[in-house]
This record gives sequence, structure tokens and C-alpha cells, in this order.
Amino acid sequence: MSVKELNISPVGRVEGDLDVKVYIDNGKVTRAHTQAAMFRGFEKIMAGKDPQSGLIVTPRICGICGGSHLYCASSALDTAWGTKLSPNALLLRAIGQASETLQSIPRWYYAIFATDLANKKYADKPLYKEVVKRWSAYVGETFQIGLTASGLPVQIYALFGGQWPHSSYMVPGGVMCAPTLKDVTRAHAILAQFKNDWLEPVWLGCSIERYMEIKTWDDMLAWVDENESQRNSDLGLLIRAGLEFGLDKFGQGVGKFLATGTYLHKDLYNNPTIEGRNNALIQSSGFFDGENYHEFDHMKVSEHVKHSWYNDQEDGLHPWDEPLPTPAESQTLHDSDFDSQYSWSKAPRYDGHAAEAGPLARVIMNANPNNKDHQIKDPLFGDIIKKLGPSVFTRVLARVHEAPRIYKFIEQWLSEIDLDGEFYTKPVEKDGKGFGATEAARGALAHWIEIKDGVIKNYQVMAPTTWNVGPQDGNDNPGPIETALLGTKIEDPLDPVEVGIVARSFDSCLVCTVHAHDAQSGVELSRFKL
Amino acid sequence: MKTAIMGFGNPVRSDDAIGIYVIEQLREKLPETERINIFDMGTAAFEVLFGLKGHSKIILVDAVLNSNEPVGTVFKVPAEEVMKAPQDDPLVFLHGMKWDQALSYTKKILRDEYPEDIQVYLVAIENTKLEVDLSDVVRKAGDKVVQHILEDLNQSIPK
Repeated sequence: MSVKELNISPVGRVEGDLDVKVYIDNGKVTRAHTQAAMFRGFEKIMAGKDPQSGLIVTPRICGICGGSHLYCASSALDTAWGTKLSPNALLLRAIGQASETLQSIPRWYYAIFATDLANKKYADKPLYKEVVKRWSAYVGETFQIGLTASGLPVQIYALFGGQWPHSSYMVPGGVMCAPTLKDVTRAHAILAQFKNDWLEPVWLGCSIERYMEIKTWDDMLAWVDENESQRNSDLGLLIRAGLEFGLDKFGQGVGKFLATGTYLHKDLYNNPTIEGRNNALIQSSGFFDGENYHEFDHMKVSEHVKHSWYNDQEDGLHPWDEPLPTPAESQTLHDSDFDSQYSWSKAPRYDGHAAEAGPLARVIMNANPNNKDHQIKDPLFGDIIKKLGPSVFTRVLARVHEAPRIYKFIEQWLSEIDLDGEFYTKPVEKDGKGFGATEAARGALAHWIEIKDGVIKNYQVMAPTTWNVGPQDGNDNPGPIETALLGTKIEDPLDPVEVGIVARSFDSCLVCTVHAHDAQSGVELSRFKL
Repeated sequence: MKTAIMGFGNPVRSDDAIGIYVIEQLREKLPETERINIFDMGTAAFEVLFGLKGHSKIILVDAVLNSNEPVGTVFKVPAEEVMKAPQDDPLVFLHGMKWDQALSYTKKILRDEYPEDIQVYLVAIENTKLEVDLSDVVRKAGDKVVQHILEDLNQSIPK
């Protein structure tokens, strides 16, 4: 055979495209629409197939958080089949989920978020020079350290899961691995390297234990000024520069938060049921309406499609009652009628409300006074939400705040594995409905399954980005990112970097293009990719 | 001398899976050795950065769309060809990176450790529907790539 040589560009694989269209009037965003520009129909692949198809198909939905999809897919089958889960199985699933989330923190911070702070918009700020020196893409002093460290946690995932990304080691009834002492020792060593290379010396400037003593916003500010090492750490700089650059002044969002929670406790979910899930979580689930906490009930989740390109369902259906996604006729961004259908994303609602999913939702749930002794109890973000409210700054701080705690969890769970114990209990397959959920790095992720006649009748995936980038609902109320953009002050309409910063603070899992228009004339002023 | 073979693609997007098919075949055909690492890269291009480390020879296998050649055409491209127009956009995006971007990124980070010998095999495809089957013509092309890689390894890796 002849092998041809030519210059060619490889396939670009994106999880999807998101177009953000904003209208600017007198230096402020007056209208904002988010358009998911790609139909995602993974659920359709699974209809009529073996109930375990979700274990293979859903981890391929995303090249970033496949482990989180696997956690959901195996959990949904656990509840549908009434499996038995050994403590080891729950520990190894939690370690996998935690490793994936831990990886995402430095990777997202350095590769995605911090480079925005080096934008010329902030050139007149006193800390700008230091930010550029440290966090400029490729050449920043700590950019490379953070990015290189981000590769470590998923090595732990690969030890137990066989590979990362796209493993299928979590299965209904447990996990398909039986680690040895060598694996556990190796995992401890990788974890220690993550701490010693980046987490303590570069990120915190202090020990994990010292950082975890912070309980209030005042504690946090006092921590920054406690010594030079903390003040000059990357986190110290983020707090000082974030406030100096005014990141706490915009990007509020809907002010309501949803977390499905994660990390099922090794001794509290050995007989998995949907009803028993909330109590078994280490990172608690819940809905926070801005004032009060409410217990999470998956039956209060519904999706609206008035503004989405789906014609075969009514607004407000629970995922078990939704049809498999069938695309309706769509339009380009230019031709979209925003009073009608304008997105491939549905609009998820909790008890009728738009809600923000993500690390900020999680750390707010950690401050829920009703959390039990085996659950995370951390009042910090309850205080921060009261004192600062939600914003770009609060959202970013929430994400990085999780790293030390997740580190400690993985360390603890590794030491709790019983190498002589069971890892898998073969389940009995049966028809029925199941629900599995977790917290992906970007927020609440849930799978709903219905099995009939031994095959999948219905499968529904609701991702954190769907919660955040969804369009208006049946009552024309906007989604979280649409809301967060409204009222944002734009310094330079030809370079509306503020819009990008808001969108990036949510870290949506779609490649995002911002289109800024003049509200009076409708003329497109600028367009840039995030 | 360590070799990394990386397959890219999504096994639930029809012919897009060809890179994964090739490495699965190679896993069966190659003897287990410390000197060859086979990676299922899936759709996580960013991981190239971590996979390259410690290898002196890299082989990448992927699908290619819109090549203006019939489906099933096999291309063998030196990586520097692919990187002629490296994507130097500092605004990387974790969810939409291509491995050519990842390579240019890696070059900046690994500097002296960046492997010299990078070979890319691409298979022309059209169908990326949400399905789990490869078309015959693309699978046959994948088998050719497997043969090529086996020959390449025979020549370059001393027994």
C-alpha cells in the first residue's frame, strides 16, 4: 500500500460548543443568552441495549470527567438492581472520584482561569506585574509547576482504574480491581509528591492542617497576612489580586445552589437505595435558596424545553418521564429567535428554580448546620456567602478551597482499604428504575435509568454544565450563566473580557465563544473564543 | 529507548474510534515489554503532556475529517508537519484541545525532554454518528496502520 504524506490537521474533539451572546448598552450587559450549539445524544446509543452499556458509553461523554460519569452509571445500576457494595468498593470509587476532581483544580486554575488575570485590562493594578510573572501561560513561574502537578492525581486513578481517562472499573456491585499493598504504597507516594511539589509550598505556603483551621472570611484574611509565606503563596496572591481586581463585584448568578453530593461512606451504603443516599454521603447534597437549606430530593428535578430544540416533551418533566433526546430543527446563532427555541441544552430546574451547580454549591452545602458527624462540616463558605455574596471571586475561591480537603480524604481512604476484603459482589439483574449521582469537578452530575425486559428503556444524563448554561425555562426565567452576565460592567466593548471571566468562572464543559453586540444598533462589536 | 503509542478517538462515535481500535489490536499483537507503552487517550488531548514524558519515540493514531481523500485513506505524517502552524493561542480550553495543540504546549513545557521522534498515522473518516460500530473500510485501514506500526517497531527497536 502507498502511504500518502501530506499536511493535515487532526480532528478537533470538543465536548460541545457554547455561544454566549450579550448585548451591551452604556457599558453594561443588558441581555445575555447562552446557546449550546451541539446536539448531545449519548442516551440514544443505549436505548434497547444491555443495562450495563452506560458503564462503557457514558465515560466517553467527556474527556475530562469520565470518572464522574462512571461513578453515576455504576450507582444508577446499584439502586436499580439492589446490589451489595463492600466498604472496599465504596472506598475505591471515592478515591477515583476524588483523584479526578483533585486533578482538575490546578489544571483549571493555571491553564484556564489565571491566564485571564494577566489580561491587559488589569495592567494598571499594583499586583498585575506579580500576576503576569507567575501565571502567564507557559512562561509563568508557577504555571508550569501547577500544570505538571495536575498530572499526578489521575495516576492514582489509573493505578486502580487501569487507565485515565475513560476507565470502566466501577461496576454495579463494586469495582473490577483488587489492589495490592504495592498499589496503595505507590498511591501514597504520588499523593505526597502532589503535596510536596505544589499544594503546600506553591499553593498554600503553609501546611494543609494550618489552612484547614480557617473557618470564617475574617480567618481567611488573617491567614493571608499571618506571614510572608502565606501572603506570597499562589492562594495568597489570588485572594489579594482577586479583591484588588474587583472579581468580587460581578458574576453573581441566580444565588441558588444545588449539589447532588458525593463520596458514599464505606459503611453507610452497603445496601444502595435511592432513599438512603443522602444520609450516606460524606460531601452532603442539598438545595440552598439563598436563605435556607433544603434536603435534596431527586424527584424535584425537572427539565424545561420551551427554549430548547426538542419538540416531543412538555416542560417540567422528571428525567424518568422524559423521552430519549430527539433533535428538532435548529437555527444558527445569527438566525436564532431568543423568544423561541435557541439552545441544544435543556433547562434543568430544582423545585422550579434555576440553580447553580459547581464547587461553590458544594462548599455552601458543607456549611449546612444539619450535616451529620460523618459529613463535611465547614462553615467557611456559609460565612463568605453572607459577607461577600456569590461572585466570580467567590466561585473561584470555592474551587481551589477543595484541594486540601480532598487531599486529606484520599490519604485517609487509601489507609482504610482492607487488602484481604471483598471488592465485588456479583449482582442479580432485574428490571426497574435507578438513580446515581456524584459531584464532578464542575458540579452536580446525575444519571437516571429505566430497565425493561432486560434492556435499557430510558437513560437520562444531567450534567453540571446543563444546570449552568441552560437557557430560559418555561416561565422565561434565565439560567445561571445568563443571569450572572446581566448587569456586568464592560470597560471596553471591543474586548469584553469581563464576559469571558464570568463564563470561565463556571468552567462550563463546552468550548465557549462570546459574541458582544451593541444593544442599540444590534451590531456585533467583538467575538472571541474562551 | 522507550516508545509510547497513543490512540485517540471516541469509541461511541462510529469511525472516530479508529485510533482506539488500532491500539487495542496492538495490545493483542505486541509482547508485554517495559519498552513500549500503549495509551488509550480517548478524547483527552491534554494528557499527551503527561504521556510523552520519559519516551524517546512517540506514535500517534487518530482519525481525520475533511481530508479530500476517500474514506479509509491512510496518512503518515511526521509530527513537525502537523505542528507547522502550532496553535499558540494561550487561551487553551480543556474541553476542546486537539493533540497538535497539546504537542505545541508540551514542547514549551518539556523543552529538552521533548521527544524528537514523533510519527502520526491518520485515517480518513466521515461517519462520526453516535454509534459503536466501525465501518468495514475504516477497520481495514486500521489493520493497515497496525501492520505499519508493527513493521516500524521491528525496524526501530532492537530485539
